[in-house]
Amino acid sequence: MTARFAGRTTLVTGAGGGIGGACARLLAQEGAVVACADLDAAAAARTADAITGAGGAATAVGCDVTDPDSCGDAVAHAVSGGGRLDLLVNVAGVGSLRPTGEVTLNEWNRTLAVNLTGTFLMCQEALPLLVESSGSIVNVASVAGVRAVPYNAAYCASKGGVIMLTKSLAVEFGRRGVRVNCVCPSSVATDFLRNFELSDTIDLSLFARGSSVIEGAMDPAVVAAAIAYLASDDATMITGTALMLDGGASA
Amino acid sequence: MSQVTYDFAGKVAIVTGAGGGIGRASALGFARAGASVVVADVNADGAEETVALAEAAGGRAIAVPTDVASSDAVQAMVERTITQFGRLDYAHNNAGVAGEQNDVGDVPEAEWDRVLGVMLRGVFLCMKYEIPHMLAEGGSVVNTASGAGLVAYPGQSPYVSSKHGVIGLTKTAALEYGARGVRVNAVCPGTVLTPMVETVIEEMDLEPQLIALHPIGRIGTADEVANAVLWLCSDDASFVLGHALSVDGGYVVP
Repeated sequence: MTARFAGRTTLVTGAGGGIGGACARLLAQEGAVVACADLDAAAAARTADAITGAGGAATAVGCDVTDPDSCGDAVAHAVSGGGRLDLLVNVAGVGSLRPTGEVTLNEWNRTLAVNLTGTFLMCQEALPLLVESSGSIVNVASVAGVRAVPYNAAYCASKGGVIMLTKSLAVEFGRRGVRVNCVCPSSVATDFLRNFELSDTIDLSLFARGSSVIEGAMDPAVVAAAIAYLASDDATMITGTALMLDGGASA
Repeated sequence: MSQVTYDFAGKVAIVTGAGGGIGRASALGFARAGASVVVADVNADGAEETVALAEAAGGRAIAVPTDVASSDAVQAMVERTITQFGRLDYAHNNAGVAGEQNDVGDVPEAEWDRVLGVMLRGVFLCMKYEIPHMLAEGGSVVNTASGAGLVAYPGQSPYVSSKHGVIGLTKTAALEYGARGVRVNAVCPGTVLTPMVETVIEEMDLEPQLIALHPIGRIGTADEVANAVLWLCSDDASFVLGHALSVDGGYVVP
């Protein structure tokens, strides 16, 4: 196993979930010290325990990415060990499938608050430290941020926003040595997907367009591998990129 | 050089335009990862130099002088690959030419045909003859597009059109062959420091201007593009297909 992240301090949000957990484990396997952040502090602790149990270095912190103070606390927690931060991975996200007429303002606001504003807040807290370390950010957007999916207006809008947030930060912070990229997965086999709320009033035939030519949902490890690649020194010329992990769905 | 040691042992790769620059870096990357490499270039001397470098690094490679604009030459290149190494797993279709600077009204028709012949028809011909050999055991193709495949540059209509075309061709082939185990992707470099580009930059004193265009504050290296090619060919990129991956320090960011 290559140790691409030896000596690096990293912070992963949504680390109690499928993609975030896989990402935290991979970074730790390759030498990183990982702060596992999640709204569900117990889930974050499970990921961190699994890492330390396997001989890796990880801590857990509860974090509500919609709350600026909580984001600041998570970043402070991550740097408390070694005083630096080299990588922020924003995975925390929510979503549902519902006809737009049935979407409550609450649900719209919640989706934007977690997926888009939460990513912004975490970036804002972390960027001064990433400038110091010439670090990197990888955000988890979605194929739904590139190619529209029906019954998913808030999620699509939030993920489209994450992509442009990523690109905007990339062109703003490139000269200061910080690379900012995102990955855009299609279906990933996680509890997030299994628990994706499905309204019974949706027309499934509208999903036929733009589907992946590879059957089935990808393993979260596939997303983690792409995140690790973008964060690694093999991608030193890659910034502002939205890397599609979609089996051709957006091609 | 890649940080990761990819394991391409027992695999075979074709790299076109491998007599220098990005193609050479990628050919050496494949060779270091253990693949047998077909080093194709219209410039036979450049191809031989790359082979010597690959062998010096402990790799296995052969030079096959090839003009990718010629169907006969591309077919011969693929046939030589199969007779020499018995299989084909990866292809980096990278051969390109620089275009003259002309507005559309002033582009000589022969110049249009020359540029598209190498960079669009050439990529089509390469895939047409490479992919059938990958269907039995799967494979991966990476085509060199460009930032000019995503946005336009005035005065470069043949180059821009061919690179936009490469991305369309890449996506189409990806959707056709993705379910059959062959992934097709593209890389979109920004300005890359190759000997040819270095000369132009020095002659025209373009370096400060070019650096200013790259948010990352510098010009890329051939190795950085090669690293992306290797990653796209690796199993880590198993869900990446039909993608045009920018490796440009934020130059384009569409």
